Amino acid sequence: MTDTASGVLGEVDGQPLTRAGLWLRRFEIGLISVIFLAVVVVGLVQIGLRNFADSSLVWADPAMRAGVLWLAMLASALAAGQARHIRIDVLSRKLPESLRPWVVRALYFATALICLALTAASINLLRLEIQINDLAFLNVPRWLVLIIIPIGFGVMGWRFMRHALGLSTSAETQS
Amino acid sequence: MLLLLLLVLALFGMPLFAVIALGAMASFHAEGLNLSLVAMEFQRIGELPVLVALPLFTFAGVLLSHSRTPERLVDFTRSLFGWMPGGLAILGLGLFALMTAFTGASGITVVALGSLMLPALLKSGYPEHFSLGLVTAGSSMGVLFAPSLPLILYAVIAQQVAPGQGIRIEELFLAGILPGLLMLLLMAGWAMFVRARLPAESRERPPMLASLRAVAWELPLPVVVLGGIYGGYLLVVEAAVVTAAWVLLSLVLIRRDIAWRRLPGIISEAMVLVGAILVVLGVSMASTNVMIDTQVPQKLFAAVEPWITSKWMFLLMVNVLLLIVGMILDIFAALVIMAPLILPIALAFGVDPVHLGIVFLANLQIGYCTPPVGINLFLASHRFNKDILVIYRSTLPFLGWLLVSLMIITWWPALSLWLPGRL
Repeated sequence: MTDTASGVLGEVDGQPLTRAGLWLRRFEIGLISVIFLAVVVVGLVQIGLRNFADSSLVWADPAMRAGVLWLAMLASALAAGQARHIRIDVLSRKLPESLRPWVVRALYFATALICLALTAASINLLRLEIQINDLAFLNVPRWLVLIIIPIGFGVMGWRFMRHALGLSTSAETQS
Repeated sequence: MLLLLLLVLALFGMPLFAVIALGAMASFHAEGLNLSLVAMEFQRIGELPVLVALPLFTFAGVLLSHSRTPERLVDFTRSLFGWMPGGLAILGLGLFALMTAFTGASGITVVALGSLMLPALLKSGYPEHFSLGLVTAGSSMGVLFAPSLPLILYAVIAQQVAPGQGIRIEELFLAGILPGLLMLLLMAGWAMFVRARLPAESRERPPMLASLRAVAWELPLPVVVLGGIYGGYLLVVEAAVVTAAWVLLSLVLIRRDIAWRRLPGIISEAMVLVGAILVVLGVSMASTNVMIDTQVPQKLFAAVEPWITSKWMFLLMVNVLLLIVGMILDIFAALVIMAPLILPIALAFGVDPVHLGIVFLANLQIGYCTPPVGINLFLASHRFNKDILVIYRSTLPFLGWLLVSLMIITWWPALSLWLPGRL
């Protein structure tokens, strides 16, 4: 039992209460869409050049891979808002009704802490990358590509913490 | 001790990426290594070329499932093959396989295609139990056919765990064809057998030309993609780009099945699916790394070696283990967690890594519809509003045939390895 399978039934549709939250979600969905469409377009241009002009863009492949990393982190942050990450959920359903919300909250709290640790670890990596200052593609330095990792884990941690504290409006924590 | 804690956390529903990340960080710490190494491993999901295919194929699958394509395909197959005994059931199986191969998630297939196939089957006179079973078990078909995401993911993991083996995605794509056809064949044979004992199918069929025109945009897609990959014209990532662009153009621009303003929502929905897989993959890169460092596979091998006398016995154990794992775990999570553990042991027993991959995925695929907790069973019960016990009973005969094909796939490596051998 995982959330990916049941989560596909509806589009991304959680309704945050605050105006700021709504705009943030729109921004995230917009950014994800723009990056995704950019990956498709760059990919098409690359195929066209390779097959018909016998040339290729050197930066296209690393740029597409960077796009995938950004998509993964942004979408995971979005998924955290709706508590839609892959998980096995066999035991919590067996818990007594009165106890279950507390166990779920405790798990979200622990998840938030783990996200925090991952944020710290990726900030360390980022520091290292800034010192090395390698280029990922074109004039884009590697650290600028990797910066999405601490941002992503940071947002995930923040959102899981909101679930833990009962501040979230997502249906998942209430049910 | 750590393992026990992780298991308890996972079983109570902590997100898997967090469980694996905790395990990885604790192990790195215990080994006296810097935690930023976890991030160093994680960022490799932005470095592996073939992962670019994942969001593209997933988007195509999600967009297709939101469009009216499944409806059009069902109409088309009814008009084309409605006359054949068992034709509708067989073509249904083929459609399921195609859909799951492209989306990589058989849950989407149950929901999008199953709910169309079920009424069509009932209308042409198939018994309810048979139809429910066919739809539920049939939706797991297709995991073994290119460009299925689980096949791609197995190749990626195998390349990480056993870099010396030179495992290529194209080999796995070829290896899956015959075993996948075997599964389809056995299930189709059963459908024909059941059908033959029933009164003739109703002759009422949609007009051929109209339904052919209706799928004019969808029909060439599998030909282009599969032909491109198997024929060597397109790299896997290129095929993924073509697929995503194709469905985007045909469904949004030309057919207008999907309004523009729904596109961002659908893209995000697909990316949430992919993001969930990639984050688990990312943290498991770190945990795999530390497992290899601390020689966990060697220790496991040493522990099981006295008990297992042959490679066949080992494969039997793998079958049992993976059927159980496949029931509780999502196929992607199961791959990411189990493949790094089992692959090195399998190599030590002399199992071919490509054959193992096919056995692996066949098992996990069957786990989707194995009672008591296979995910397809719950989705079907929910979607068709039937008691879960009815679904269990309906699926059992099909499950039997799937298990027979699993035995054949496991004990006849040549079935998987013959085609890639021609490469």
